[in-house]
Amino acid sequence: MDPHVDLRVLRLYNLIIHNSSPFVLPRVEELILLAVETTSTLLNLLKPSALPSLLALALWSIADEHYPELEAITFLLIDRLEMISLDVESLERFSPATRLRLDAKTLFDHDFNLVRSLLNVASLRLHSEAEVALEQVEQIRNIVRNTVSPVLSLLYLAPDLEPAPHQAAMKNAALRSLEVACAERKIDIVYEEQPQDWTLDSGVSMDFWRRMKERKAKGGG
Amino acid sequence: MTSLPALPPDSTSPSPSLPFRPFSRLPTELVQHITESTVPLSFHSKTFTERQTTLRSVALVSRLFYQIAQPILLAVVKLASRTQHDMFEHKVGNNGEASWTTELVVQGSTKFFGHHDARSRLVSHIQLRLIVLCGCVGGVKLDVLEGLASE
Repeated sequence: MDPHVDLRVLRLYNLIIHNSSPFVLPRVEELILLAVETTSTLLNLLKPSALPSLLALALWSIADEHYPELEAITFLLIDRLEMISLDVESLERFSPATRLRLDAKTLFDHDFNLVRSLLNVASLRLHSEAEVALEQVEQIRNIVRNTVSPVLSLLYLAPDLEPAPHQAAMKNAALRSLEVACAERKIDIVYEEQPQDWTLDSGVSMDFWRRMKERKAKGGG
Repeated sequence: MTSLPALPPDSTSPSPSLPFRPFSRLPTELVQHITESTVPLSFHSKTFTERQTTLRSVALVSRLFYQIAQPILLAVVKLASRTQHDMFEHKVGNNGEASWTTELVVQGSTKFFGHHDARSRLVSHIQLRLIVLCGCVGGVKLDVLEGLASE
């Protein structure tokens, strides 16, 4: 192998991937596909022989017609990957068996404003383009309080939602009460920087990936 | 990172007629450390513009700073227009500086990845560790990336 050949990260956003001759990207570890269309099949793009070193896969806003094969891909890749990142809309399209299989190493992304329940997933990241209002924080807190035995164990929030003196007093109090509600339900909150521009920056949660690596090292994934 | 440029000639008794340039006498490793500490080493949309502006300013301090800042400046490249593509290609094509680029962000253009000779164009960019393609008109074929990743 040429020691200089080193492509590790590939992010493809808002474009069409055309059918091509078979390819191998031997060192790509991180692949993000957001709002990508393909004239081929996703299976052709994501087959293990094309991406033999892939460890982190993020798929967001994938067209409906790709979901049946996405389910097959998931089963094909799940044991090799260290983490997956999916938008929460994917949940409705996967079978219960696939959801169960995915849950252990998948971080689901959800719009802060659209959360109505904790969705029976282990790891959830809430994002919002606009500043999160007090009422939204209180709503999430109430959802957590009202969920007696949540499956959720990791909740990722943007750092500006961490309780701090610079926050408005009422919002700060709401954020603290959200922390307390999560602690009571044994949900860990992780405050982590989120992409400013999802179509340019990495949306892969490094904290989640690290946790998955650690779990794998301990033989758990 | 590319190899460090050689230290500037050490003139132990500078001519009194020349202005004293303390930055030029700093050890190369220290200048490297200062420059790398000044900016993020990876692409982020929030910091990219300021990163490049800062490095261009740093490059004006002295010849040594220029030699060190220039590879860091070109290590992360964002191309969002045809003009930027042309300037980048001209710049790296003439001086063999393509190998400095480790992160390439391409927004809305197909100059590299949709072009019929994309594979041959990419051969000079074999140090790329990260590629971001966003909204590339005409789409892409992933087999062209094998130019970066073939045995």
